[in-house]
Amino acid sequence: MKFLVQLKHWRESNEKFFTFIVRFALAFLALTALYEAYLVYTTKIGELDLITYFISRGSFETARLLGVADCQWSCFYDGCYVGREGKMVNVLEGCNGLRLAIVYSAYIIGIGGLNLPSFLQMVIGFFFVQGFNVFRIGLLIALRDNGGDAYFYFLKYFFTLSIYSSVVLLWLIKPKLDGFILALTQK
Amino acid sequence: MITKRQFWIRTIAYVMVTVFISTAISEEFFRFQLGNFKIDDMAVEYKIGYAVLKIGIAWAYLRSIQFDLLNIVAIIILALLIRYFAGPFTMGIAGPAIALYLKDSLIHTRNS
Repeated sequence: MKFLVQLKHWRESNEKFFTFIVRFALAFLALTALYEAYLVYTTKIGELDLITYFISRGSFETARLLGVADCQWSCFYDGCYVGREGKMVNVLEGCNGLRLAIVYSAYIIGIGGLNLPSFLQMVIGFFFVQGFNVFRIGLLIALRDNGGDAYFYFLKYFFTLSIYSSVVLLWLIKPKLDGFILALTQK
Repeated sequence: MITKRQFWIRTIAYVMVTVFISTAISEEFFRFQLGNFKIDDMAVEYKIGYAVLKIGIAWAYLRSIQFDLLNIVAIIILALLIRYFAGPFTMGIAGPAIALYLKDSLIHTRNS
């Protein structure tokens, strides 16, 4: 009983945060359900999901730009292989960065609700996260091609951190992004 | 009350430390053949230990930015929900923590 009273008091004194939590959780569940339904559909028809497909394609182009000669790219229903023959990197659904983009989108909806500025921020966030993702996978392919310890250390310690950094950076620049979007939507 | 600068330094440090710990643990498990390289494929008892460690670090981070017990519990439950659906636990902690810390200048509601 005492706990319920405490909970009620917490809700009243944290009205804004409570609204954020409810919106965040609902948006996260809805977006995850949509993505999971899409994954079930692609599995059913025996095709690779389009996000992984385009991310691996972008990584392939990045790796070529970074100087990987004879770079190859092939996709199957469970993932793609990118890189030089014998030194290929396997790009799976888990590498496509979409779950992180979903968390970021849920955060944006949690903060601002469902409206045009939130939608624009979600789109910007999606491309920003995927830009980091394509670059980190492209760099990984290039490091694997070059050989040496750099590939190992990058994969172990910087690969995950680099994509998390993109979201932290988005959170840091959010006030500036808010101003930009506000100016854009008021035009 | 901590300053904005202290808050951001602690948040970035929390993200970096948890990613480093996850990598180091999965590496050690692989080296000593205690389970698969992927944390999701570890034996249940190790997975529970790993989860307790991650929750403990999150708790320490949220305490360090001076959140009270109910706020900490609310954020951890939210992050566990995200993790349950294969999302990133660390981001599930850091995101809501930022929202709570900056709530008055950040969260828009109909009344605000």
